[in-house]
Amino acid sequence: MSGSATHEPRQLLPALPLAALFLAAFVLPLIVLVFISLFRTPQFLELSPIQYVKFFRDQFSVTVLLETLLLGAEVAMLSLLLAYPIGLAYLGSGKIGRALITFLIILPLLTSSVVRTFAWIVILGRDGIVNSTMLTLGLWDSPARLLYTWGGLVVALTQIQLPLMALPVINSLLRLNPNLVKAAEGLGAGRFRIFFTVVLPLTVPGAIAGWLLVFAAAATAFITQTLVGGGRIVLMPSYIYQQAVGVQDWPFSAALSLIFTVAVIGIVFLVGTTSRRFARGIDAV
Amino acid sequence: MNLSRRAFLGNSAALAAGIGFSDMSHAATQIVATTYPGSFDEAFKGVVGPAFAKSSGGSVSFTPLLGVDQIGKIQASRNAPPFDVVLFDEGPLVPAIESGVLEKFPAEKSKGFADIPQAFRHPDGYAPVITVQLIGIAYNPKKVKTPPTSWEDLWKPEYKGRVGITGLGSSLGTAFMVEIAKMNGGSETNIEPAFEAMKKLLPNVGAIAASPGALAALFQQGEIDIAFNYWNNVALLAAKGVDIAFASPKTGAVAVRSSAQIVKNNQAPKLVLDYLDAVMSFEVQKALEASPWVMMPTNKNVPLTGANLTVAKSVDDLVAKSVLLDWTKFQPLRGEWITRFTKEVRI
Repeated sequence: MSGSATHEPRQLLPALPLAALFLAAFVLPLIVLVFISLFRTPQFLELSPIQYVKFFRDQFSVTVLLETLLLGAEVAMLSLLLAYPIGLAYLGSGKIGRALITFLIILPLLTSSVVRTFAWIVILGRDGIVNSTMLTLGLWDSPARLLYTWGGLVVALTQIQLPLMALPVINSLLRLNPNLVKAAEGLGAGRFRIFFTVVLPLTVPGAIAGWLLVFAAAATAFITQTLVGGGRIVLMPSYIYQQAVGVQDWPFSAALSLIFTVAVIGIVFLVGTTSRRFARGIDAV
Repeated sequence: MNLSRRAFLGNSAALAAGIGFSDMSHAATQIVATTYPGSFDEAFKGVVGPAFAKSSGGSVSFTPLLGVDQIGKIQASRNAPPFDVVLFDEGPLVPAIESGVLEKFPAEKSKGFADIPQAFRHPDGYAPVITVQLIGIAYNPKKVKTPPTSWEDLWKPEYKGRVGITGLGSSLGTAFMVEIAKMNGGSETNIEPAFEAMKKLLPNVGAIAASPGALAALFQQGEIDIAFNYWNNVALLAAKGVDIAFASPKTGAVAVRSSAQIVKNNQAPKLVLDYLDAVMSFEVQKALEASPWVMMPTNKNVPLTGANLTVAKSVDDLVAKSVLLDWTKFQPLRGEWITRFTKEVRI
């Protein structure tokens, strides 16, 4: 918005419908949510901040929040690790290769996340692809529990959210000046050195953008968390649903929603600003 | 605002039915009824919809929703509710009645009410029960050679890591916990012994499912060999060739009574009654009782057939040998139980 001073108001007109929709469908409900969260009991009788006190005094609730944020962070880190090799492969490919990679990245986005999640149930199940392969090869003696585990959930979410990471990373790799790589090569730097001292620092903005997208998407992925995590892994989205629908405690679930929203936005903001400072530091060098 | 939502619902239903906008002019020929997602919804669309259209000349649009979701939606729009008929298990029916969104059942005007046994009529005059969901022990007959005979069998050491459970958010999990409490010296209001028993069950628990449907699916995936579950889920999976069988515990299977209730301020009271009469009618209940739906009838004239005969001889027999719980006693405590279960029962 810092550049808005140079814009004429008329130029902002086309953005009005979206702004109106955003106001009506996001900001207003959020205000209602704040209001609901300030009631003492589910009967909406007396105003009080008790729901927030209840949350932060309850070790279980705080743990659920921290684990949800940790899940988002783990999935985002793993996607980041996977996205760079994909991006470098893209950079090194010809026209057809690039088209194929783009198609493969976008392909999962063309199916619903429910379908992708069910595919993971088939892969991770007790009689699933992983277990039957390992048993047939004789590498495992008995089927391992993969579904309804933390590790299984992280892997499934990573695959499901990977496009959100791969696309911005590829985009910033494309904008990298190839002469810089050539110059580094000319000065005798090895492949790893080029990657860690030239490519990686210069593509940090794309990586951060992808990290934030994947983090927010993974932490809030209600369907995948419920289906792959099952009832034993309790995370914020299902906790909110349970308190609102099962327990019918709207004030507490409203408070949960707001705390979760603030936490996710807080991390996005924090990571965004510190990394931008970091990126500027590199520019200065 | 409310009116437009109503019109929108009607329109989308009409569009879905392929009859376009011609239906808009006489909106009172259509009612909106809720069903439960899954086989329940398929059965109602396949059987109840056509039967109601034939008997009343009206049409019904079905919206699949969970019991507890419905109350909030009606409360948000009391004067022009989005549904005319809603479906409730015994538990969620209690707060629904308390919140005043339901109307009593005009029994004297009903054609089908006479065929409903006393146990399936509402003590305070709300609409009667239209189907019963039986809760017993589901097991994999290939792995569990001797059919279980008691809830206690789930605690046997041989089932280490092979037992599935689900939380108290569902009628299924709640009824199970109440039965376990009763078995261990507790009662419908004293759940403490059940939580203690659950702690001892944990070494056996291989999976905690998010819902009753997900719990049944765990048999299909081979994740578990034994669990409490609904007779209907078991019968549907068994018909598809899954290794799953049902056993009633010696204390009796628990019968959860589901009723279709009339929403206050609904748009077409006459059609709503016609709809309820259609659901209670011999023809509809007979069709719902048959394969593939195998839903338990509540019309006493409907004979039990096929798989249903393995759990009860007749509707009267079903009433006589099932365990009926008084949900009014513990429904108010359930919120607390749900949260406690989530916190304490963890593997």
